[in-house]
Formats: sequence, structure tokens, C-alpha cells
Amino acid sequence: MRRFSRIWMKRTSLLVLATFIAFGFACGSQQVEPLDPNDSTLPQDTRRWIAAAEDGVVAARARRDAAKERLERARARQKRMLDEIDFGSKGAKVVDSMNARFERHQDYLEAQLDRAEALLALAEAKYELATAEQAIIHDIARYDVEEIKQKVEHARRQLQDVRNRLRQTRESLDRTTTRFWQVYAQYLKEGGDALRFWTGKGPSMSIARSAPKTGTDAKPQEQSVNPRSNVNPKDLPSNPF
Amino acid sequence: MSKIVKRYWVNFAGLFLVCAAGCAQQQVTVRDAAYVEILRVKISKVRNAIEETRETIISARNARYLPELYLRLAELLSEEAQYHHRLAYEREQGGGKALHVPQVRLLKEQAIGVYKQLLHKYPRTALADQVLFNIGQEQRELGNFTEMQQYLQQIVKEYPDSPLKGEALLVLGDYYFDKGEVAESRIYYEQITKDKPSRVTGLAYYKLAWVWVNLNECDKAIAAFEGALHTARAADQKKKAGAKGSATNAGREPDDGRYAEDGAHTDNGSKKEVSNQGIDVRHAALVDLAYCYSLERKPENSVRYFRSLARDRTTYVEALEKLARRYGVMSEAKGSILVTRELLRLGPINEERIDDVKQLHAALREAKDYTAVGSDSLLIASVLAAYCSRADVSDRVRAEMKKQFELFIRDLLTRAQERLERPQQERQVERAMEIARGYRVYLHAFPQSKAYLDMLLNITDVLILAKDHLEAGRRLLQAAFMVDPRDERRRDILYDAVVSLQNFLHTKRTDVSDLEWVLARSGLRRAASELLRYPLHEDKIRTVKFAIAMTYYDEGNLSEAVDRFTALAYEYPGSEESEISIRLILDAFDTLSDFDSLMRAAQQFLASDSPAGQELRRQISPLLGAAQQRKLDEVSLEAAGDEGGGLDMLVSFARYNQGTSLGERALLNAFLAARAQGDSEQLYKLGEAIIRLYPSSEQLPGLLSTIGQMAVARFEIDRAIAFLARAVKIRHPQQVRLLVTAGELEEQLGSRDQSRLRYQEAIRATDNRGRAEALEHLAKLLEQEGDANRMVAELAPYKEDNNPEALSRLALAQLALGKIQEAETNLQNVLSASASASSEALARAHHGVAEIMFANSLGYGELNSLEMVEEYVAVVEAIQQSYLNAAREGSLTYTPVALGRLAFMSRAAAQRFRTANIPQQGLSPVQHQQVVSALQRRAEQLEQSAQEALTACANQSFAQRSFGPAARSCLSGRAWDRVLAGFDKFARRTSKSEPAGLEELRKRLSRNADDIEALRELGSRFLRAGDPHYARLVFAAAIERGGGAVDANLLGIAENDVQNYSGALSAFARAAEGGLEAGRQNLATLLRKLGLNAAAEDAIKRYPVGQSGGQLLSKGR
Repeated sequence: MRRFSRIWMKRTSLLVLATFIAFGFACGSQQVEPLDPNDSTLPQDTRRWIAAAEDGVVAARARRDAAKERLERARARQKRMLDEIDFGSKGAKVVDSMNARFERHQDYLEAQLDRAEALLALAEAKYELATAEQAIIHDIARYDVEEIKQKVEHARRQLQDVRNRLRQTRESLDRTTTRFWQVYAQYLKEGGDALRFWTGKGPSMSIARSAPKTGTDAKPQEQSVNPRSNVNPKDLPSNPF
Repeated sequence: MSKIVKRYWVNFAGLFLVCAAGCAQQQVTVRDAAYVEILRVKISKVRNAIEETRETIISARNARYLPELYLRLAELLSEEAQYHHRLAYEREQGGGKALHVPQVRLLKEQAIGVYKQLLHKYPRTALADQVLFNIGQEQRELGNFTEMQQYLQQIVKEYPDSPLKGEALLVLGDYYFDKGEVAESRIYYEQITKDKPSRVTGLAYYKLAWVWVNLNECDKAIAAFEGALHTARAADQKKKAGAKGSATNAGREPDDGRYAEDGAHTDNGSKKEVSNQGIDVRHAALVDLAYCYSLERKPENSVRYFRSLARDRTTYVEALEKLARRYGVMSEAKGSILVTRELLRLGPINEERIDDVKQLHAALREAKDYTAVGSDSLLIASVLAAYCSRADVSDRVRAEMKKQFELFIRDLLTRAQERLERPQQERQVERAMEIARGYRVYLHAFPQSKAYLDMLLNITDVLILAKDHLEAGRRLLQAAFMVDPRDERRRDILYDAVVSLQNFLHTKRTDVSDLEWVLARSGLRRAASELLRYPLHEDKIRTVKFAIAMTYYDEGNLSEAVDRFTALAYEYPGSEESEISIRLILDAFDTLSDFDSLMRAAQQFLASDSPAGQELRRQISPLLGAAQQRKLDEVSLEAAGDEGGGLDMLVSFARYNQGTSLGERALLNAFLAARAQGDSEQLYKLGEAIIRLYPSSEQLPGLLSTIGQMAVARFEIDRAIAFLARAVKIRHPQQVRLLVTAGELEEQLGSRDQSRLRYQEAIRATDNRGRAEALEHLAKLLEQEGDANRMVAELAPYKEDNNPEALSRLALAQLALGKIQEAETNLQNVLSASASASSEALARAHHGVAEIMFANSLGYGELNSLEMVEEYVAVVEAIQQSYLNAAREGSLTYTPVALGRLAFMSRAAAQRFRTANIPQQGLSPVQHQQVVSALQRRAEQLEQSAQEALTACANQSFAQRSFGPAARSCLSGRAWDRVLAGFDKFARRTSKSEPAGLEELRKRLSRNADDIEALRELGSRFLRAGDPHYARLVFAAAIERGGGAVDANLLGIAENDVQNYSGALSAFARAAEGGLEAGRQNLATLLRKLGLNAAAEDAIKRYPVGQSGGQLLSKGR
């Protein structure tokens, strides 16, 4: 019995401790409740302020989605071009250079996406800050504004880092693009096929349908008065009248 | 038991058999009764009716309705005769030989007898016309034509208004017509047509028309047929109107029930007589009209004509069919075309339509009329489709029809196209469109045709003539797909497709739909890409490639377009396409606002190995410059944004373009962005970078002055002075202002020599219009130094400027040196310019005037006469007034000076009065004593005035918080004994190093210049670091921007440290007024330190005990 009570107490203590810790975590990171920009009890200037911050988030999100789309398109294009274009034995350098260019382009687009993500994070942080400040001003809630401001500053710093990377990837992309065209020009000078870039390596387009063939496959038409239509007057029924 | 079962089964089997047999026998076929039987029944019935009627007649003696009974009897007899006739006919089964039926004749004669009896008995009966008509009909049927005529003529003659008159005439006309005597029959028919309309008028017209036909008078026949049609139409319309209940008033009309046309019995049972029953006049007339129409009228109007006369489609179609046959026989092509078209459009789909198609085809070929070949093809194909969809048409027939029709359509279209391609065809486009329409029908209707490809190619030629380049291109592409890739024609077809689609894409964009645009582009791209697989001339290859690239460009897929154009440019350097491609590449990047790519591409094409020609390169250079500027603008905007853009981007951009004007601009933009952000550290760095890298930049002067101003705002005075000096060195347009600012700063730091030099440099740097400010500052500085010789030496050269500030100071200096006359002139100049002179200058001027008078008054000898006394009194009063004028100007500096000097002068004057030695000569002792007493009193008054002046001066000091040397002299009870005002001399600044940790405070001030807390802290740190010069500037700024007593007290401490006692006392007084006890105590402490104990006591009394806090100079009371 004694042993049991000891075990029971130990377990209870652990449970209580765990509960406290959980509450601590919950209370540590504050959650800013959004304010409704359509709430007529709030002054108009407040509502405008919050709505403007909201708009910033929406715009940032749209830009992020656009950046994603650009990246996907670029990837698809790269795959398509690599599948379709064949520069032959002389064009190995061209292919390598093209690959490099595509990869730098992707890096650049990924950096753009990161920037868009960073801008979105910043917009969200600013929205949170605007909401918290207005809530405090109008006695709706209490928040630790400093913590939120720190978040905003952190987001700004992140953005700055991303911008630097963007600039680097851009410069790299420009270099590889210029290099690619130089390689291509050299390829042409060395007698490379100027059609490869345009026709790719796919087969000629197949005949669309199995229509009766003309030309060599067709029965030779008889000579007729009308060579265009190959209509022989003898084939025409006579006028019944 | 088995027996019983057996018996049961046997009985059952037997019963089953019986029933089966019974059922078999009862299978009776029920058929309709034979027509013969029906007739027999009818005969029986009519006989019964006859008997009944006879009996009724017998019993109805003298009845009014006896005539009707007789009439009825006769009709019944006639009816029985008819039945007998039909019976005989049925029996003989319609054989061709004549029938011999005696009952018929007998009965009819009986009927005639009854009719005659009726007439005889009732000659005036209303039924007479009917009876006569019936007799006539009977006679006709009996073949007694003479009698028939007689009776019918009798109706016409004796009963002209009878509705049966027309009938009678019709019968008579038919009689002659049947005999072949058409001329005779015409007479009778015309009698009907010329009479008023009746229900037989239409028929009469119709008959008359046939008369004319037989007489070969087709024009008259047409008129008669038209008459029949119009009359019949009118009758129909009237009948319809009558059916709605409207009354008619044209004799005994059909609506009275007796004379309906359809042969049914009337309401009263009497038979209706209509000659030639079963003729639908409107139908028959129109159809029969066809023959004469074809002979007499123009075929072009035929369809319209017949349509206008037709009652319904069936009639119309039948008439047209007849007409079509006529035109066919006549080989009338135009008519055949029109009529067969209409038949194909409206007629039922049967074998006749097939013939119509053939006729149409033949007629079109005959007339060579292909203007509507598209519509015709559609008609023909529609007929074929409808015919082949019939369930009763076999597959063989279908195949045959398809083959035929395919030939027809193909023949027509190709012939039409041949004619089209002849030169100078009118309305070629319109015709081409029509032919193309026909080709589309063909291609749709005969997809398996062996000639499909040829026809497909044909349509493309036609579409090109019709300027429908889009479809032409698409059809060519389709044709190309049908041709074997090894076929040589395929290349040409593809090329034509490319050209066509390109032509389409040259159309004005607003004239075509988005779908068409997309189709054209994609088609062009496919065709062109495919075409490149074939051996082509180089020019063609280039053109085709360019076309491919343009499709991407047009659809906005600029990244693809750029790659294609770039490839093209390198593949064909120097060509027209290459040049255009390069331009389009740059344009594409410009459209995308991708300035990085635009710059890269421009640089690529400006490189030595570029495919661009010289002329193009010259055009690219400014584009590159513009792109760089726009990129810079973009980067600058981003850097200045709230999104933490930072200056790094601009700095990197500048580094990337170092040594160029773009790099310079980038750095300048970064500098401006740093200023906007308040990032001083960056501002200094960037400023230094610009100065180092671009020493010739035109923006340098502004930049340096900006930095200098910012340094001042941050209280980095040394730095500010350095930057301002550098700005001056590079000939800043505002260098005078900058020099003055630098001089002010140095003055504040106690570097008066340096300050003087700045002012002098500023004065030299400009003319008299621009040096006023510098001159004033110099004059003020010299006055504060107190060296009259120097003042005169430095200010006299500029007296012609007539600057009141400088002139007044110069005058006082001259006075101090005894140069009365020069001083007087200058002072007069100042006073004469009183409107533009400041109160300070006027105060000096009045003070100077007073000093001059005072100096002059000192030249007076001993007062030893009354006249001298009087004069002296006047002079003293004038001097007093002048000093008071000076004091009233409110100058913080010269009010105490004037008051002090007033006291000085008053005491001196008092002494004069006291030591006056007026002789008794001419005066009685009493008078002499009075004079002496008066002089004593005057002296006392002057002493009092002197005291009052000093008191006023002391009070003024506290009131205005002005504690300069002259004021302090007043506070000590001593009159000021000098001409020039005195000034405290600042101690020189010794500390040059800044205390640590000021950057944060400066940043705060950069963000908010009115941050009093920051200012106080900054000043305090300077104070603690032993730099009271900086500290006093900071505290002064704090007070200016709204600081309170604490800041004033701190300012006092700093001022005390720099030995600016007047400033310190003023600040402590302000602090005391602000309620700070430390200020009050510090004020008293400093006053005591300066030997002004009484004033210190006065200060303690003046100001109430204040709040605690604040720094003390030393232990105060």
C-alpha cells in the first residue's frame, strides 16, 4: 500500500508538472486575434489601417503564387527543351552550356520564390503588428508589442538576406546566358547544324488520318477535260430531259 | 382405381380433340362486305325511300311542300339509277366497253317525268331552276344532248339570277369542250367569267384557260388560269370569313346549305349539282399553268410567280415539277436552274429530286452560271444525305447515288474555279468565297473520296483568292498531313501554309477574334517547324525561322521568343531578320521590365563578336543607358522602401558599375536613401566613397553640405566643420553661407580666431550684396572680443555697405577710440536707416549718440554762470533722453549698458552741479542762495536718477534674464563706466574626444530630433566627459525644442564651465523660474561667486523654493 502511494504520488507529480509546462508553452507565444476591418465599432482610420495591412498580405501571397508558377513553367520548359532538342555529336558543349543556363535560371527563380516568401512573412508580421497595436489602443486586447516588433525586424533581416542571394543568382544567370550564346555561336562557326535548335529530334509529324491517299498511292486518274477535278464528262449522268 | 383414372384420361383426350376440331371450324375470316352488296343495299334503301316519298306525296294533298316532295322523288329515282349504273360497272369490273343498263334509262326517264310533272303543276315554284337543271343533267346522262341544252338554256334565259345559271353554263361549256368545239365552249365559259362571281366562276376560268390552251393562245390561257386562281382564292377567303359568322348578301350563297361544293347532301336532302366534281381549282390551275408559262413568260420570274400564286407547298411543288420538266424539255437552262433549286429546297426527297439534281447540274453547266455554286453544292449534298437516309434505299443505290453526286459537285466546283481564275474577274473575292463554301460542303460530304486531297488543295487556292488566309493555311496544313512525308509536294504545301498563315497574322488585330489568332499562330508554328525538315533555300529557311519566332512573340511567350530570336541573330548575322530579331529581343525585355536581362542583352550585342551591325550598335547604346538608369531607379526605389530594402543593393550595383556615371548615380542614390533612413554611419561612409571615387562629381558640393548639416544635427560639430570646409574648398555655390555656419560653430566652441577667419573669408568670397550676413557675424564677434582698434580696422573698410549692424558697432568702437566725428557720421547713417535697422542697431546708435553728447559735455568748463548752468542742464537732459532711447529699444545687451551709462552720466552731472561756482555778481544773497540750493537739488535729483537707472537695470536683468557684464555691474550698484558693452569670454575648448556610446543617442535623434530625453542624455555625457562646449549646444537645442527647467539648469552648468557667466546666470534664472530648486540655488551661488551677494540674496527672494532634483554647482543655501 505504501509502495502504491509512492508510485501514485510520483505519477501525480509528473502529471502536474507536465500540465504546467504545457500551459507555459501555450502562454509563452502569444496569438494575435485578428480584428475585423468591417467592424463598425472600430473607428474608420483603424479599419483602414488594418485593411491596408491585410491587403499587403493578399498582395504578397499573390506574388508568391506567381513566383511558384514561374518556377514550374521554367522547369517544364527545361524538360521539354532537353527532350526535344538535339545538337548532335558536335553540340555537346552547347548542351552542357544550355543545361547550365537552365540550372542558373532555376536558381534565380527559386531565389525569387524565396524573396516572395520572405515578403509574405514580412507582410504577415506587419499585419500582426498593426492588429496588435490597434487592439491595444482600443482596449480590445493586450499584447506584447515588442515581441511582435522583433518578429517584424526578423522578417526584414530575412528579406535582406534573400535579396542578396537573389542578386548573386541574377549575376550568375546573366553570365551563364551570355556564355551559352557564345558557345552556340562557336558551334555554328565550327559547322554545327543551324536547324537543330528549331526542329529538335522528334520524328516528322505523322499523317493525321488514314484518308485515301493521292499521289503515288492513288489509282491514276483518267485524263479529262478538267484536270483539276479529274472529272470525266463520261462519268456524268446525262440530262434526263 | 386405375380403371377410373384411365377412363378419366380417355374422356379428357376426347374432349380435347372435340374442342380442337370446334376451334378449327370456327376460324371464319371476316371481310368487308363487297361493294356490290353495298350498292344493292343502297338500292333497296333508295327504293324504300321512293315508296315512302310517293306515299307522302299522296297523303300530302295541296300541301305547300309538295314541290319539294316531287323534287325529292325525282332525285331519288335518279339516285337509284346511279346505283344501278355503278352496280353494273362493278359487275363488269370497269371494263372498257360501254355498259347496257336498262334500269338506268327507265329510272332517269321516270325522274324526268316527275320533274316535268312538277313544273306543270307548279310552274311558279321556287324550285323551277333546280328542276330544270336536274332535267338537263338527266338528259345529259341519257345522252339527250339537245334536250339537255334546251333545258339548261331555259335556266339561263328565264332565271338569270339563279345560282344554277353558272352551273348550267358550265355544263353547256363542258358539253362543247368534250365535243371538241372549244370555240363554242368558250362562249359559255365566258358568260360565267363575265358574270358576277359565283362558286363556279373559278372552275369556269380554269375551263376557259384550257380552251385557250387548246386554241394555242397561251397568254390568254395564263390570264384565265390566273383568273381561276384569284377567284378560287377569293372564294376561300370569303368562306373563311363566313365560317366566322359574318353574313353574306350575294344571293343564295353556299352558307344557305343548298349549294355546297363538295357533293354532300344539303340540309334539306336535295342533291347538289356541281359539274366536274373533284377538281381543286387552286391546285389544278397552278399546275396546268406551267405549260403556258414556260412558253410565254420569262423563266427568271418563274419561281417568284408561282410562289405568289400557290396556296400550299404541295401545289407549289407540283407546279414547279411540271415547270421543271417543261424547262428540261425546252433546254431552258436559266429556268431549270431556278426551278430545280426551289424543288431541291422544298420538295419531298424522292426519285424526282434525283432527276432535279441532274437537271440542275446540266443546266448550270449549260448556262455556265456558278455564282451560287456553294449554295447549289449544299443543296445537292443535302438531297443526297436525305435520300440516303431513307430506309427503303438499298446500299447499292446509296453507293451509286454518292458516286453520282460526288461527280456532280466536283464538276461544278472545279468548273467554277476555272472561270474564277481568269484574269479581271469582277467581284472575284465574293465569287471565291462562294466557291470555297461549295468546297467545304464537298469535303464534309465526301471525306472518303479519292479526289479529296485534290479538292482540298483546290479550296486552298480559292481561299487565297477570297483572302481567307487563315482557313487557307489551315487547309494546307491539313493537306500536308495527308501527303506522304516523302512526297515532294508536301514541302511546297507546307510553305504555302506558312505564307498563308503569315498573311493572316498581318491582319489588323482588332479585326479578328482571339480564337482565330491563336489558331493561326499554332498552325503557323506547326507548319513552319515541319517545313524546316525539308531542304529549302537559305532565304526561305531564314524567313520560316523568323515566322516561328514571331508566333511566340505575338502570343506573349517572350522567353521562348527571345531564345528563338537570339538563335536567329547568331545564325544569320548581318541579315535583316537578324537586325529585327535583336531589336525585338530588346523590346521583349523592355516589355517585361526585366532590366537586368535588357542590359545583359544590350551588352552582349555591343560586344565585339556580336551579330549586330554598326548602325544597330549605335542604336543599342542609348537603350543600354536608358535601361541602366531604369534599373537604377528600380533598385533605388526598393532600397528606399519600407520593406527593408537596405542600401546593400544600391552599393552592390554601384560597385558593379564602378567608374561609370551609372556607378556614381548609384552611390548618390544610396547616399540619399541613407539620409532618408537616417543611417548616419552609412551616410558618412558613402559620402567618403563618393568623394574618393568621383572627385569631379557635380553633386559633391551638395553632398558635403548635406553631411555637414547632418553632423550639426547630430552634434558632431568638429565633423560638421570639416565637411563644411571641404564643401567650401570645392567652390560650393553656397560657400558664403557655409563659411558663416562654420564660423558660428567655431565661435560656439570658443575658437574665436578661427571663427573670425571664416567670416573674413566669407566676406572676401562675395560682393557687398552677399556679405551682409558674414559682415554682421564678424562685427558681432569683434564687439564681443572688445578690441576697439581691431573693430575699427576690420569694419571700417566696409562702412560703405551701410550695414546697420556693422556700422553701429564701428561707430561705438570709434567713440571708444575718441574718433567722435567719424562715429557721429556713422551713427547718423544708422539712425537715418531706422526703418531697415534692427532694434539692436538702433539701441547702439542711440547709445552712441548719448555717448557723443556725454563726451562733449565733459568738455564743458567749470559751471560759473547761470547761462552755462542752463545750457548744461539742457545737455544733460538730452543725454538722458538719448540713453533712455537706447534702453527702450529692448536690447538685451545695450539696455543695461545704456541704463548703466545713464547712471554714470547722472552721477557725473550731479558732481558737476555740486561743484558749480556761481558768482554772486548781479545776484542778491538770497538769489545766490536759491541758485546754490537749486543746483544742490538738481544734483540730488541726478543722484536719484542714477540710482533709479541702476535699480531699473538690475530689475531688467532678472526680468529679461540678461546678466552680461553691464547688467552685473548694475546688480553690484556700480554704473557702467565704458562706452562699449562687455561680454564674457568663452574658455577655449580643450576636450576633443567623444565619450563612448553616443551613437545610439544620435540614432534616436536622427529618427526624432525632438527627443528631449536623448538630448539631455547626450548633453550630460558631454558634460561628464569634460566637453562643456558641446554640452551647452546640446542643452540649448533641448531648450529650444521644448526642454524644461532641468535642461535649463544643465545648460547653466555647461555655460558656467565654459565661463559664459551671462549665459549661465540666464539659464539658472530660467530653471528657477521653471520651479527647479537647483536652478535657484545655482543662480545664487554663481552670483555670489561673481561678488554679487546682494543680487544673490535678491535672487533667493525673487524665486520661490522649487522642486528638488537637478544638478548643483556647489552646496547652495
